[in-house]
Amino acid sequence: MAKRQIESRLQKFESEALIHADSLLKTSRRVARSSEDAEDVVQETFLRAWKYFDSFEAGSNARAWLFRIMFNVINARVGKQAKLAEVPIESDEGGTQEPRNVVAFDPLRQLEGQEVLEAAKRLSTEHQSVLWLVVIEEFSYQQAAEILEVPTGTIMSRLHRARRELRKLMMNKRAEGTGA
Amino acid sequence: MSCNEVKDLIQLYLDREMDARGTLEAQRHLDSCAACSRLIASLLEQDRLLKLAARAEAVNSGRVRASVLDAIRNQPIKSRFGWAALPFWGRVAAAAVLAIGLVWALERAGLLPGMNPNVYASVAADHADHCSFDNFMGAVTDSNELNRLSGKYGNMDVVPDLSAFGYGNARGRVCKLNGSEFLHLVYYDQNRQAISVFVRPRSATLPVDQLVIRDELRYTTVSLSRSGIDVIVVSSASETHTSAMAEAIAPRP
Repeated sequence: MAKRQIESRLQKFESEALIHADSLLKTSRRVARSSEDAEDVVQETFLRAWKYFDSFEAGSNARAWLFRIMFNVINARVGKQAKLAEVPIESDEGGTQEPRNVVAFDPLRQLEGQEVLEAAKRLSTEHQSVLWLVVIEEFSYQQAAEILEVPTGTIMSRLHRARRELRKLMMNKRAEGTGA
Repeated sequence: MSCNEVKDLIQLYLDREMDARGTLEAQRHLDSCAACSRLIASLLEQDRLLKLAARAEAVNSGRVRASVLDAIRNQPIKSRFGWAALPFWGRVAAAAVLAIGLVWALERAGLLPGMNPNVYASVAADHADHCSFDNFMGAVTDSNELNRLSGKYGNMDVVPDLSAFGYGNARGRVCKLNGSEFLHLVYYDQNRQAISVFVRPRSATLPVDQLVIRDELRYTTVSLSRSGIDVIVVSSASETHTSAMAEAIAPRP
């Protein structure tokens, strides 16, 4: 391939793929072991994307495509983690769950976003991944399922757990803050 | 929609995965249920704060972008003459050229059937077979037919005359050796072993440009390519004698 052709292709790659570098890096930081790992993961993601950029269909969702590649890179690095047993949302209610229809207090009212973010870091990688994809990156369940290569039902159950865990963490933090 | 139903579907509502009808029903319930409304509000706030904080989080992907661009630019550039760079017709043409080159190389190396030096072993073996049968089964003995075949395969007016070497009574037949068609002539002498002469039109597929002598089955095999024909003589005579007969069949122009 001539150098001029490469530059032309590179321009397209920059405008369609590299513009998502921030999003990828942020998500990668959630699931990678260190910030160096996160950068490596994103770099490898883009190099793989470059390799197959010709096969990428223009006009389709480049961001979803890149996220999918990135999670493949991550899975290849750490090995596929054991899939969480799918638990139906209905039966996923533990005894510690607050009673239905009752909200004891709103722990979030006076908390800063940074605290939520810090709390989210304490979630498992799988829960963080799904929370990040659906809540932060606003991927649909279907897209998240394709990116993580799991069924949509798994996305839903993981998301439910992630939110519940996060809420519990925030409640504990609130309780600590008030000396309860 | 009841509180339980709303709780079951709360996630779909939060993530806007609920259809319009479900959303409307849920909204109606939330308008009239303070507990569910607070729960939803709480979770929405949790999501909102998380999203806000995550988006505000400083991240500098500049270094990654730069290293990606560097890595791509430093990748070895594929040759513009590379296979992948060629259009379809170019690949076809290149494949044809490669195939021709390969055949030529195989020919030169004598690795194609009917085109290699093994033909000498074959002619020697064929000669031995015929010598073992006195009647040279299926042979043409008619002089006119032999002359015609000699013209066809050896570009000669008449069947080669080897009487000067003491051989006569030529018989012939067309045979295929290693996939190549020859006129096989057998000459006899009462006191010696018969000799075989193989002739065919000059073919680039047999490396007989030079005189090649081999001993096969204790026979002397001499071949030469001259005057538009290939000649192979197999005999029990000496190399000199056999070469002289080959020279007589295909004299220098």
